[in-house]
Amino acid sequence: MARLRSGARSGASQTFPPAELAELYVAHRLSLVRLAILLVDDLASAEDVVQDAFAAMAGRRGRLDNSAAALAYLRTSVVNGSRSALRRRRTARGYVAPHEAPPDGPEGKAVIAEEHREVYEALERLAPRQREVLVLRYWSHLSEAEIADALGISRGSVKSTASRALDALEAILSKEGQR
Amino acid sequence: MSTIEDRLTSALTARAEQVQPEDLRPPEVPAPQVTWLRHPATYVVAAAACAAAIAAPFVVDLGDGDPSPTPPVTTPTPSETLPPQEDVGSDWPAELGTSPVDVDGDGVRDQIRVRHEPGKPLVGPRARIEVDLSSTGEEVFGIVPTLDWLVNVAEAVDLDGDGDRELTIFRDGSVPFAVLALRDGQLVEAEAPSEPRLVTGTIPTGDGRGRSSRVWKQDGGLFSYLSVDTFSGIEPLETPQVYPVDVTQWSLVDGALVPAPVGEQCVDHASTDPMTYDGLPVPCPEGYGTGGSSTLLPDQEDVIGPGESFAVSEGSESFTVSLDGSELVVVLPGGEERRVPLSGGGDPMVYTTPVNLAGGDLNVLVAQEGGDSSKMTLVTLRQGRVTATLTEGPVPFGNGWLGPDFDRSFRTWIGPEGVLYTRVQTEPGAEEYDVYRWSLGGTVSMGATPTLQPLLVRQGSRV
Repeated sequence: MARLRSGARSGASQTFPPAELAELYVAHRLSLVRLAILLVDDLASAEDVVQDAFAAMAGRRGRLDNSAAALAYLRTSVVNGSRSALRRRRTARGYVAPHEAPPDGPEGKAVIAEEHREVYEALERLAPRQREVLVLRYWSHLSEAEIADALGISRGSVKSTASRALDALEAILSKEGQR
Repeated sequence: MSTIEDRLTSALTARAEQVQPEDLRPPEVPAPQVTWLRHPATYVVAAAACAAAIAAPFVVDLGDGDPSPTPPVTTPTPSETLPPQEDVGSDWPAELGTSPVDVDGDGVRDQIRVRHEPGKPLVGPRARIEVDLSSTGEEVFGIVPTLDWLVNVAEAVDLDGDGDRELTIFRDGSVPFAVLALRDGQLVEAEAPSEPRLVTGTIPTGDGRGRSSRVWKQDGGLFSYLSVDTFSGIEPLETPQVYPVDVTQWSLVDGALVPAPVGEQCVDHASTDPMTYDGLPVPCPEGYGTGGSSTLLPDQEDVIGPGESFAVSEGSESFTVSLDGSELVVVLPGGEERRVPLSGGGDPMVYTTPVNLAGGDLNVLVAQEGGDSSKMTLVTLRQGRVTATLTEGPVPFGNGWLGPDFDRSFRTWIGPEGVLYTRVQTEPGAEEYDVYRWSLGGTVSMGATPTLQPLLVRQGSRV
């Protein structure tokens, strides 16, 4: 049994400390928005998803062990929030006239290069879970274990999903190239 | 990296870097908010509020000045007359048959049709719910979003006591039910609060885990529950056989759904005959839920080491458990031997008191000490298969220290009646602990490697 250390007694922590939250917000907001935009495609939704993730963190009881754990929590929130946003959008699209559709990225930015656009459009055609695994692996550069934690799936699933997703991506690009 | 991996990395980087700091909205750090479902005051008042809540669900007062459930926006009020309804979807195909139910409250069942808007892959974004009212002979309808799922009428319940019945509409297992109320010759979707949610399925909690949720009709009322603890698995959740849930009763006021907390109960998969089990919550057995009063100590201390063995009986069957180097060996009643390698390092020891876990035929706890911590492994026998269980999630398993400075202790032990507990120090140096009782998840697939799921039984306890 581990022996307990003596010390002053203090109560259980309440919500996430505001100062730590503000630090996380400043440090990670941009990278999380970039992660979200790779999953939801438009900036407004990406910002909403990230804001919701920080709001959830603000309401969380107790602090996380370290900033890495906090970032992992936020990352998972962003992935889950992006999935929900996509689901909501599929519904909303039935009501939105084409000219009212959200813009395809930050206004006034250069259009993405053609070779990247092909890959990106192929990525959009993958199943949500496949896309999430590829984005976390090839943009966030997470390990299999970290991706498994973020998505709540096993490492084996991460490996097999990534492998199938790459095959599918290659097949889509190859088919598009033959047209 | 292969060519496709290089191309993908470049494309993702290019797309992500289109977002620059100046593209973002002005920064706005969210303020801390306490989710009322997890607020301690909710538990304190829940039992006392129960009777009053059912009789007068809109006057429940948390009474401590902290954030409390915000009543839904009351739109529209009954005094307002609804604008004429645009006839949408009368030509959509009727996809699903629905049993007739009495919607207008005249004692005669009314015919219901669910027309789905055509679309891909299965259905379009909306569905039209039509009812032929037997009392007037007129057809009424309402439109609900499908969220890409075939929707159907789940229940008809009088939620506002006006004699007619509201219809609950089931969609996906992770999105809330829609509720349609009959008003001014129209079926109008009721406003719903953001929490709790009317969901039958899993509500993800953002950390790779989720809460179990269910909606049901009972004694003429509409109820829902949400598990107090989170579970891994997600699709599906690996829920234990017994776990506590917060129960809510629902009413309809001025066109808005209003939740009233009923209190904490337990879903107990073993409480009734499996053939007739309805999955509805029942009063919790001893030791479950944050109000549990079971005794946590003394802990069981007898162990064996490498080269030693002990016999144990579970029900009418006897097993022999031994340690052979770094392998746990279980001899089954028929003489067959099963071996499980122990990956923790160091000399293992096995507790001779079996762990009492519903869902496992035999469960033994192995500890492997190293420094000021011990790795622990729960080995379980199910259907002749012996495996080391998984212990993923937010609660640590074994003995050791948490935090960046490793100054918050955690400890796992077998308590009275073989119950497995872990306590986690709330703050460095504090004499208060959050105590979790472990349960075996995986009620869905017995062939899968089982996962231990922590259930919070004491918060800030001086164990």
